[in-house]
Amino acid sequence: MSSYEAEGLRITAEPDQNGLKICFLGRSDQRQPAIIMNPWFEDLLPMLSNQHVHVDFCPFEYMNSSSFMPIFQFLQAAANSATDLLVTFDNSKDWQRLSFSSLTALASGWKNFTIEAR
Amino acid sequence: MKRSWGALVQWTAALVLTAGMLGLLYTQSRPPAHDLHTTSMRYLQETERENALLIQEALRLRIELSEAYGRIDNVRKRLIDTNEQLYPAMQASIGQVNESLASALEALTGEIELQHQHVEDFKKANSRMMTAIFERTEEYEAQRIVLVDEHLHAITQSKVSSRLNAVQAIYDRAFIVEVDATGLYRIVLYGWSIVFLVALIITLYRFRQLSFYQEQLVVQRTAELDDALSSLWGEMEIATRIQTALVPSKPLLHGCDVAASMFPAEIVGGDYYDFVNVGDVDWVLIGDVSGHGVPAGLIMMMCQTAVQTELQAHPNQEPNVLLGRINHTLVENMRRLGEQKYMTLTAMRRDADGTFHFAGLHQDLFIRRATTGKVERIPSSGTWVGLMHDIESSLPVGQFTLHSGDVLCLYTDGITEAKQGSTLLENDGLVQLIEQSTGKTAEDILESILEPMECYEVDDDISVVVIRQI
Repeated sequence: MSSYEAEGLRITAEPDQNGLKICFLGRSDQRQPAIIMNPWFEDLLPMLSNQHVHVDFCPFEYMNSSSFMPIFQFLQAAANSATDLLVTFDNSKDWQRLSFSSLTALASGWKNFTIEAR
Repeated sequence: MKRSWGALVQWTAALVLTAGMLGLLYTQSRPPAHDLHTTSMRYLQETERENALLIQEALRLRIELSEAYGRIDNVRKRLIDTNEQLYPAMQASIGQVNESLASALEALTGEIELQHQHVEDFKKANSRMMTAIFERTEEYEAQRIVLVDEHLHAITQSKVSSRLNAVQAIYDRAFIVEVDATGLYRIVLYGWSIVFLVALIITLYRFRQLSFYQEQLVVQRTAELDDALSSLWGEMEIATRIQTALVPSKPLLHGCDVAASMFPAEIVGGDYYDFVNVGDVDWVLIGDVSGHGVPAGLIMMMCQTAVQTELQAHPNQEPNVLLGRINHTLVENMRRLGEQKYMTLTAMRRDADGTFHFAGLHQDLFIRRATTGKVERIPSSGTWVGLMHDIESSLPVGQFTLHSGDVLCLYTDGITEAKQGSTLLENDGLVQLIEQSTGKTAEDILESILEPMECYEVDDDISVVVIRQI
């Protein structure tokens, strides 16, 4: 299991019954979140190769607009690397509904990618 | 009858001739019995002769083989003999070489030991010499001190002349003693000390010069930085003025009472709203560039310019088409700038009949219906602009109508993310503020929404637009 934590943001990666589950927890409201996130994502990406990957944003409390780009780029790279990628989000949280609504449209051309509202 | 006899004779003669010819042929084709015997005998004799020859050949080869074996045996014997002769010689030679090597090694070891001994002797001698030098130095020092004491005593006891003489004597004796004892060592030491002292003085002087120069440089650079900073602040103020100047000061929407306000969190923010009126068609746009600061403000300005240009040329286009064109401009400009940003943007076209057509993903639209006093939420959908080309098909177009007294509230996330402690206002809090807002004019409603914000911690730009249908 891998875990990354800094400034209120926590990302965990652990095996689940289907493959690998990555969970976003806490808050991401740094001014330049890419500085924190990108090294974590670079570390995580090799683990996703030929895996069934589930990225769960449901417990994620909040992220600011600057956090979307590094996460978007990570998911794009993950979709290319993993056997298949499932993204789940909490539709009852307004910010998640809006952010992942946009992601749904942006990722419409990605292969092996599924996004589910929960 | 004569003819019959003649034919018979002819036939008989022919038969006799034929028989004779056949007999002749038989005798010619089949050798006589004595010829066969002769041939067989000859063949047998030839075979026996060949056999005899082969046997002779075999005997000859066997003899040669025996001779060869004999020669091989001779060679083997000679080799064994040679080996037997050589082995003791080799053994003897190896023994001699070993003995020579052993004696050479022994000699070498002895030599090394001797050298070690010499080194040890040298070390001991050196140590003795050093001890002697130190002892003698100490002795001379003691002598010198005694002499100095004696002469000092003499000085105190004698007159000035005798003092001078005594001093001279002390000096002479001391100098002689020093030169005798460790003269060369001390001269070198004093020489090096003087050289070191001079070098130290020069270095200190250089450092002093450098320090002075650095101080001057710092003063100069500080002045330059102050100038640059004041220039930058001036430019930032201009940027702020440009941004606030681009936001309409007196927004207009046909048949509506409008109020709007923007509070950038930093000097330049990424919030955007605009009203565009072209003939009977009115447009309202609201959005937010990701991130803050000058890059976000620049992108907001690009968007504002693109919107104005596009709507002045094509006021009746569908909102998703407008956003598609704005998106194209922003994607291209951000690519050129190397910026990784995007923009939430909702565009609304109000037709002459009061119907609003809208598209674009920003924040949910809140309409406080006059009949109920409750807020109706119209979800925002689609995608953001600035991330990829060709998004028109991902931007569904919706519509709504405002009736008299209805209030449409547009906002950016700075207000819904305002915090009291760790609690965000969120959409529910804003809805509550809208429902509780008092006043009849749009300006009053706007003020009553913003007033409670004084109790909130705000980290982001805040923009709020209030449109009340008259």
